[in-house]
Amino acid sequence: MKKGDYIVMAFSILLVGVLCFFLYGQKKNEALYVEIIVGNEVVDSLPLNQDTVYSVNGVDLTVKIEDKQVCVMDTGCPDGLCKAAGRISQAGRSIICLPQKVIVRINGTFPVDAVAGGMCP
Amino acid sequence: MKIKTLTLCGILLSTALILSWAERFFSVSLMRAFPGVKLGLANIVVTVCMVYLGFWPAFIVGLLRVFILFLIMGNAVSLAFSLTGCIVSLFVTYFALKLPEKHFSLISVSVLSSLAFNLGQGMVSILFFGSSFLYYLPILCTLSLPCGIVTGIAMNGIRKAWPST
Repeated sequence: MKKGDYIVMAFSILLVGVLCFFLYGQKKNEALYVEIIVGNEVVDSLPLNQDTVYSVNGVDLTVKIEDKQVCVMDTGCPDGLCKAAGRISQAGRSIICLPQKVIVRINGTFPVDAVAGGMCP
Repeated sequence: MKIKTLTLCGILLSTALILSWAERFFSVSLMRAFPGVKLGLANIVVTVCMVYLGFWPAFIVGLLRVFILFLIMGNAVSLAFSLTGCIVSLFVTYFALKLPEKHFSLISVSVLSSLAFNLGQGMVSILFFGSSFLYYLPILCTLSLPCGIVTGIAMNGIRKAWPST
């Protein structure tokens, strides 16, 4: 191990750090949207970074967006599983209310490892 | 090409093939956790070849190694990966060997060439898998540092034991 080796190593670590910063840092700024899907149609799309309470037209379901997280606040379905699903914040995740055929989904790409195959969120 | 050079190239090529086959046995757990990560023992042989015989013999040994390995156990995708990575890392190795030997040992050469290998591989993977592969690239590059150091230590050992040039 000579003096130059340490310089090369420090340089490589710096390079990897810059790479990490650019690849992992930039993607976080991507604006995420919450899609409300009733049946098979996207009825509305709300920005995730804006706190709102939104009641879905035609069905008895209220969605709340708070702190870049979304959850079902109120529902009229018999089992209430969508309410029990809690809050979601990552791209690609969804809350599904089966009795009322409503899907609340955050769009955007979920970071999957292409080699290992799809990782189901 | 002298017969001695030719013979040495043949011996080095077969050593590289054996090493790249054998390294699967003791980096299995590493490969399972991070697909595509290899220790890169065959890189030792290619770099040693470049140190003692020059650029072109190393280029030929490196490319032939990739092709023969593909015939033995690879698939077309892994051929494209290794080929690009191999060519990029060969050029980087060539320039890294120009660094003054007084201050830089072969560890530097090895670290730089393994980084280059991964970056070259990364470029091809984007063609195959799309930009989502970019998320995996920093992991590969980070792991290439310890792997490069380990193979670099081995290269230094070989250069010490075989000083004839």
